[in-house]
Amino acid sequence: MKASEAFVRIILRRPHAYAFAAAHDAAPIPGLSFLTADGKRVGGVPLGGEPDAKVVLEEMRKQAK
Amino acid sequence: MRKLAGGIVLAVSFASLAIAEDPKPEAKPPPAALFGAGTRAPDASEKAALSLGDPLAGRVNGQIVEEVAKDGPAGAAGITAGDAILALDANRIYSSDDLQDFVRAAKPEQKVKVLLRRGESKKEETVEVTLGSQPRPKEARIEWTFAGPAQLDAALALAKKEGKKVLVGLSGAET
Repeated sequence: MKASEAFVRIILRRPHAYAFAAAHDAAPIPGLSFLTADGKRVGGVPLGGEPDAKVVLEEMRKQAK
Repeated sequence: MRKLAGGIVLAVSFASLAIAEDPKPEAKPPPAALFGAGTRAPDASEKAALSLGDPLAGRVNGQIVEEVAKDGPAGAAGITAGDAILALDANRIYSSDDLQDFVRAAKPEQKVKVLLRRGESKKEETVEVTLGSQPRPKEARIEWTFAGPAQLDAALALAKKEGKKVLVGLSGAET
């Protein structure tokens, strides 16, 4: 199974992404954020510049548990 | 691209969250939804003529329909070039990406309420578009199943039902 398939997945583009970030602990843009089913942001990983692929994958796996 | 053990590939550019997973996508992916119209941002005169406003982070609500595919779903619903698309269902549209994301996350034959401001009459009107279908590109990227803030509640509800968390992709890029 793909790492992302452990989650329900939603994409938000600008300008919605900025509104979301403002309401959720300055979530990174571009980036991934992880929410509980109650809508609480419990983590995230920035994807700007040259992100560390290993860190991204590890964070997705950690959050999937 | 950099490939990691576990099947995830991170593309060089993250401008549009180009996160590719599992370099061996399904042989026969299910068909993708088709809207059948191309849009662009309104220019200053169109913003004024169509009274486009409701700004969010410097963007106005509304995208101008630039072209409509002959015999396509949008055309069949009466959408014409020059109309402004304000919303798809409850999703307010601020960019062509918003529209494309919505359609990518939708399914063929799905009925979508399209809120328009007509280019000719300047009146607001809602039409129903039944999305068509088209072959889905064999991409190995993350498939977003919801798009736009109006679908966040639905994503959270599904996560609760399935005992999952929600992965939110945030992009600030123009594509």
